[in-house]
Amino acid sequence: MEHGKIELIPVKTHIVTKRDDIVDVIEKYAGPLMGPDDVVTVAESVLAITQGRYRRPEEMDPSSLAIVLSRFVHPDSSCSSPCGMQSTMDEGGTFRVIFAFVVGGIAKVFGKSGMFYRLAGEQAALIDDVTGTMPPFDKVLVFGPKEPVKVAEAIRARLGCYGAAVADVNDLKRAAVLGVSEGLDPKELSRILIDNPFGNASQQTPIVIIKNYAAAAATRG
Amino acid sequence: MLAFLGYFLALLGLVMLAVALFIWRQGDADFYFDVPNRSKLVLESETADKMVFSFCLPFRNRGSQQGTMMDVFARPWLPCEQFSAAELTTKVTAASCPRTDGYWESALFPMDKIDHDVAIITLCFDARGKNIREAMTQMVDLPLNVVYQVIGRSDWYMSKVLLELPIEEFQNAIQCAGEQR
Repeated sequence: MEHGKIELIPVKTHIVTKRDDIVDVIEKYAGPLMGPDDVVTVAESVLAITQGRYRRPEEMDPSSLAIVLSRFVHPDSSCSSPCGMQSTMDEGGTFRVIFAFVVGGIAKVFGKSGMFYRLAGEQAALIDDVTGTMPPFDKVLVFGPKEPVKVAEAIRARLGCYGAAVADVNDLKRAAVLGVSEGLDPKELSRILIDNPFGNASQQTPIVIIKNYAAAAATRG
Repeated sequence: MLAFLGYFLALLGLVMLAVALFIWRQGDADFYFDVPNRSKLVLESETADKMVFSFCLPFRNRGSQQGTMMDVFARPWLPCEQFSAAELTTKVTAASCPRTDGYWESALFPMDKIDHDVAIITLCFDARGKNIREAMTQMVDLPLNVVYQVIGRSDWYMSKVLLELPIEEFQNAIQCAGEQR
């Protein structure tokens, strides 16, 4: 795709909470800026917050197993705290996490890392530990969103744009597109969003519009 | 059969011991507030009925694991039976991430042995329409708890350090501010 014609526009919103509907929020803030050739993307943690998918550590009671397993995870991982590991177990299932832990440990001995996250379920890689999101959600664990594809389709239908996507992007040059509306290529979107145009911190810009996406795709085609 | 059970239990015990040793060696985050090296009180601002003081309290994670400082707040022990001339409210913020709203933004601190951050603690005395200078003449030694919430490798916990701000420090801060004017 000819990226030169694409323009990324971060869109500022109010602090989105579980009282908000993400489609309404995107329509309100991004709607006036959108055209038929544009794609709108939303940060997965913000979608998860609107779905109420977060928990405070104070409300959790990590099991002994979670406390022990979390000790064997890399300190930068969201699963390295007892609450993070307990969340992964609650979302992915305790036995699945134990299985992933054992197989991941054996794989690591043979020099293959990252198996735990592949086997423990999607949520293991999506959970944001405390400090992972801007205030006031810096004090909660934010899970991955539910039904990102369905949400992307709902956004596209409401806005009448070329497409919509839910993305997990960070400042470490890691971009994963969790759900797209029909016709979009998640890998292509990941490449476009790799420099993290979302403001996960106090920039308050959880929506990014990819202007002229369709036109650029047509040029390439 | 009994011998097999015995071997199994012995092996299980060894594994549990190994895990316990691993966790013990791994350690945890350990936040330390350096009370002896706090700064002296400074009078930041003054109006007819309000005085705002502040001081800096260095802190660091001296543990062997990184840890998150989730919350920090200052709790004065100043009952009205002892001092009712002005109402005291406090705010705490980190020098590395300063805020003015009194909200402590959760932050991850590496297991640095040397580097430290600084908690800036602000004390606002409000005489509610009366003369603040007159009110502060009745001030007493102020015990102040700095309460903090931590998440590390273990589950979250709260702890606190107690420090005392003597009346002389308030008087000196007021006098220094007066001289500077």
